[in-house]
Amino acid sequence: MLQFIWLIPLFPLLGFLLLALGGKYYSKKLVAIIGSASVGISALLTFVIGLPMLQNIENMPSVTNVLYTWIDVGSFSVPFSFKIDALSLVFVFVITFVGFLIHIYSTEYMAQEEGYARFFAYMNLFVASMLILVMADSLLLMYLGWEGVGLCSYLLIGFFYRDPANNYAARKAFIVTRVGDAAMLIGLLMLVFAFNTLDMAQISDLAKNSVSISPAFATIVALLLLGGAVGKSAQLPLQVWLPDAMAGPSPVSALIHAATMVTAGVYLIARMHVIFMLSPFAMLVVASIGAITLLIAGVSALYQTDLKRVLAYSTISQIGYMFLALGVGAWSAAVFHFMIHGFFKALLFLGAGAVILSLHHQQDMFKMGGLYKKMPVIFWTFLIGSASLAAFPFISAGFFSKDAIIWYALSSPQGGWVFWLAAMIGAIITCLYTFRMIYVTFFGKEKTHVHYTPGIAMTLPLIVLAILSTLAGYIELPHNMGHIQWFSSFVTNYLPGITVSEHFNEWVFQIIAMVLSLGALAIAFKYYNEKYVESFTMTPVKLFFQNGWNFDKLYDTLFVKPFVWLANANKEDATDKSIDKGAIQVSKLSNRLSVLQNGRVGWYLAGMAIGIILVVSLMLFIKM
Amino acid sequence: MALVGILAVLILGALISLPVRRIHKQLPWYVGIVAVLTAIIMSFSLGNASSGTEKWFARFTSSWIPAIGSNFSLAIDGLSYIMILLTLVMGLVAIGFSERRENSSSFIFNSLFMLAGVVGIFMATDLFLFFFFWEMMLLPLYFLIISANKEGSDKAAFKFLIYTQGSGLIMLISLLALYFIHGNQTAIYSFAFEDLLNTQMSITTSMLVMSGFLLAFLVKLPVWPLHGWLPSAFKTAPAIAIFSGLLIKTGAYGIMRFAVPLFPEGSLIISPLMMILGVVTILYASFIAFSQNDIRVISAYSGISHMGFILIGIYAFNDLSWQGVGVQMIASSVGTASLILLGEIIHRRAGTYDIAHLGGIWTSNPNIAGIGTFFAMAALGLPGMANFIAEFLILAGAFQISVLSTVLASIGIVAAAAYSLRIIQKVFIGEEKICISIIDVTLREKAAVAVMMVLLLWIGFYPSMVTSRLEPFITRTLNFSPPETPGTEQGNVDEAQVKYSFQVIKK
Repeated sequence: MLQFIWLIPLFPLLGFLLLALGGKYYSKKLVAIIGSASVGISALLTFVIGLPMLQNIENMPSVTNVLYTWIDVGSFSVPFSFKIDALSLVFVFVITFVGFLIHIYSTEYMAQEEGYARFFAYMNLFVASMLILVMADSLLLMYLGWEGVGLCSYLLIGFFYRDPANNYAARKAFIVTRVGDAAMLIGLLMLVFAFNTLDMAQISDLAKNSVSISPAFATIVALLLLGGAVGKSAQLPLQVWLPDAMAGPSPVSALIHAATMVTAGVYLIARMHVIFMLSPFAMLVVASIGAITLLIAGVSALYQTDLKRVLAYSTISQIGYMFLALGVGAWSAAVFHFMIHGFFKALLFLGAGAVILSLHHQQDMFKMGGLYKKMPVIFWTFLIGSASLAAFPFISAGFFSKDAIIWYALSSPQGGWVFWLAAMIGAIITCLYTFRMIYVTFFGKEKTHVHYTPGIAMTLPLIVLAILSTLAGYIELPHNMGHIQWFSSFVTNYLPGITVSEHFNEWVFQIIAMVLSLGALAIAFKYYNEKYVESFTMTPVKLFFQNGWNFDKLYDTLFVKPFVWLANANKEDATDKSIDKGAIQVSKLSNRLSVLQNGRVGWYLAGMAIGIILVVSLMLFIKM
Repeated sequence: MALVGILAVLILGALISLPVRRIHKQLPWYVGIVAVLTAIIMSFSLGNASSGTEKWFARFTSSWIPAIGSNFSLAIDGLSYIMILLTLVMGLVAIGFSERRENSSSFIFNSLFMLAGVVGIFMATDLFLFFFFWEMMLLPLYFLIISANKEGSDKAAFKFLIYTQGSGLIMLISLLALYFIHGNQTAIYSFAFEDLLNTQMSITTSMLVMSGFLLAFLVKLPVWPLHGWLPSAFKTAPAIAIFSGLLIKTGAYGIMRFAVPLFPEGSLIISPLMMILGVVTILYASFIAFSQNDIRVISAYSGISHMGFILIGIYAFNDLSWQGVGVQMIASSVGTASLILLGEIIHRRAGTYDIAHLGGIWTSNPNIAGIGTFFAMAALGLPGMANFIAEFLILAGAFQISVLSTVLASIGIVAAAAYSLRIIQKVFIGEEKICISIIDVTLREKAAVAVMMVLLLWIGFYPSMVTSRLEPFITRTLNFSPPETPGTEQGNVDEAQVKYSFQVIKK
């Protein structure tokens, strides 16, 4: 079985090809079957391949399938090969399994939309690209998946292509992430320059064991790779595309936020951790970006009116936690939070999608309200997901994953008070906006009538994800509470472990964290009520936060407008025009000169005489 | 002999296509297709026959103009082989795709003659013969542009003629200078490339002679600021645009095959200048591509910006970048041609090339929209397609020489995304502006599009097909060292030193 891991990305790819080439001839039912079965088979394969590998959890073998030599130029070659090890297995599991649930959900959610086959074709390609990204053995193949993911997000965000706003959002996502990709590509070029290979294991070995790269070089490479990571993972300064990416259908958002795309940056940094660890400065930058982003996005989430935008900002903020964890060297905590976040964020987006679909595509929370009685399944699963997001103590998975990050932000050798404080404030903000979202959406007066009850295809994935969002946390418990470390001992097959400093008492900080977040919930409970909903008005300050701190306007002025201006200013191709003008001058000159050829012998004779005199005097001059 | 055969088939086809028109109006088209197909099969068999270890796959020499020491000598190696196949396949697509009314016998005649000229360029190892083919391909294209009978085609033809003939003339002067310098030195007056390699020149002379060659090649390439002829030629007719897209590869070929080996020291000296020109070309052209509304013009500027990558790649002098250049020649030819096909497919249905007047085609014709999205993705260098491999290899090679130009060139990648997405945005999505008549893609169009897609993906996933062919040529050229010749006092730069510096650059 282990020589067939390449089948995992192949099935979604086949699904894409079948749907893209023949989609219009199939019935909706067949489309739904092909679309979800392709991902389902991959999920099944992941279990079949992955479970035996889990038998020896602390010494897991990695598997590599080399398909053929992709690029072979002189001494530089890149194989087209896939690899599964501890790190990629976690990602493959989340991508295929959560991806499969999202596909099941979509069969019902998209049933009334046109372009059913097109939708599933793109979704399958999305999953396939993401699988290639995490299973790639070399950075170049990873880059293929990386760009493929970008393409699919472009196609899916702009899925309802008639609305120019959606197309704008799609373009924005593609181009903003491509800015990061260009940086990443330069990073790849530097690695080729230094190591003459793009094989990730080789690079890690060489970087670890040799002195062939200087710390400055490592820093630059790490920062360039980080450029790619912040693009895809929507971190500062390239976070602007994600809130607009809401333009796509809700399952797309679930896929982008939970299983694919935005986690790519986390994966890249975790995968290339050797390079990052060579540069303390780059690690500091990663942690700082994470800390700042989680705060900025958290504050923005507090002032949204669109349900999906709350979730979008919460994703940016939660990925910020992962970056913070990566930056302080809490590698396994970052990956753990990725997995848990994958479960509860998929759940929240799918739940939000169900609400939105039931309310005639109403996305404004302030026009919802009172839904907890009307849609009990949706409400309870959404509540469980929210509890995980807000890291509700003990009963939510999010508590264990986020608690670990907050703890390591302080106690890790690279951590510190500032990071802990940022993470803590972020946690409080998370509680606030989560409760606000729950209250405004599900409680208070009913403002829009429910006209659709989601069927089993939509509710079943929600229930499964709700169970995972609760139970998955128990596979990794803190030292002082049960001390279960299945997850971290599993991923430390690839990732380095962490040694915490002895200065701090874990209990004290856990209790502080719990008290603060419960306190935040209490405040939220008091503050967000029907009065708040009715009196909610936009002030300039709120608008500033709602618009994501106006980064859009800033970039528009700094980059977009100058680019468009420059391009349009030279629409006529000034170089070419000036050469044409030069040519016209030459032809005018020739017209003038042709006056000389006027047929009068006298003129010619005079011309000859002057010429002879000139030549003779020139010769005399040279002789002298 | 097979080499002459390929040329003969094309020229014979051209000659036959004239009279057969009287028998049936469509017959010239079939003659053209058969001729090109035969030529493809012949050249394909050449590549398979060779073991790949010898320098040349095939050679042919016959006395031509003994009085001046010029022979009719042809030979192909990996580079020529790839370029000839590319030329013929694209020629097949261009002729196959052309509309019935365009299929006059003169169109076929000129096309086949032009293809013969281009193929000849890739075969010639005698510089006078090279020049002969160089001129031979220009005139048919001039006539094609003139007879396209579109608005502005006479101006485009004139511009094309002035740019290419003017620079060709300067190349001739350089060629003769090289010929006489070599003749004076060795008393052997010969145009054979391998003889001329031994010419000893002072660095000043060599630079002067080289600039004549370079000018012709750079105009053909074209690089900024000599690119003005290309967009106007692209606007005349799809077949002409595809041919022009091929023609510009002869510029790159000329630099790699002749300019660099003949003037190694000069090439090293101007390498920084060429890098700058390359970067300027990439950025300048991709910025303009973003502002244009005519799909054909966008395709032209996109092609020009690819040529910037080629220039950077060549003057980085290392095997990664040269392989990249080889792949880029194919990727760019196919890429620009596919955008041209797209423009033409749309024009046949909507009656316009202007993307400002189009929109929402996805609703009425998802097939065309799908094709268009695919081609736009190829143009922006999506991995898995030919362009990506080319750009990656070029940049990876160039990075080892000049970090700054590589970084600046990478901006071109973002700009390419901007102009490619703009095509999708304006033409395929958004509100439906023009309801494109329901006629789906015709069989001929489908065939042409399929060839393009297969080529783009094939090279994107299996570039070794190209790179393995190019490897011997590249190793030979970059490790080039002219044979020892007496009387080296004239050479100011030690040849060994030049060889050494090539290798230093490689490291």
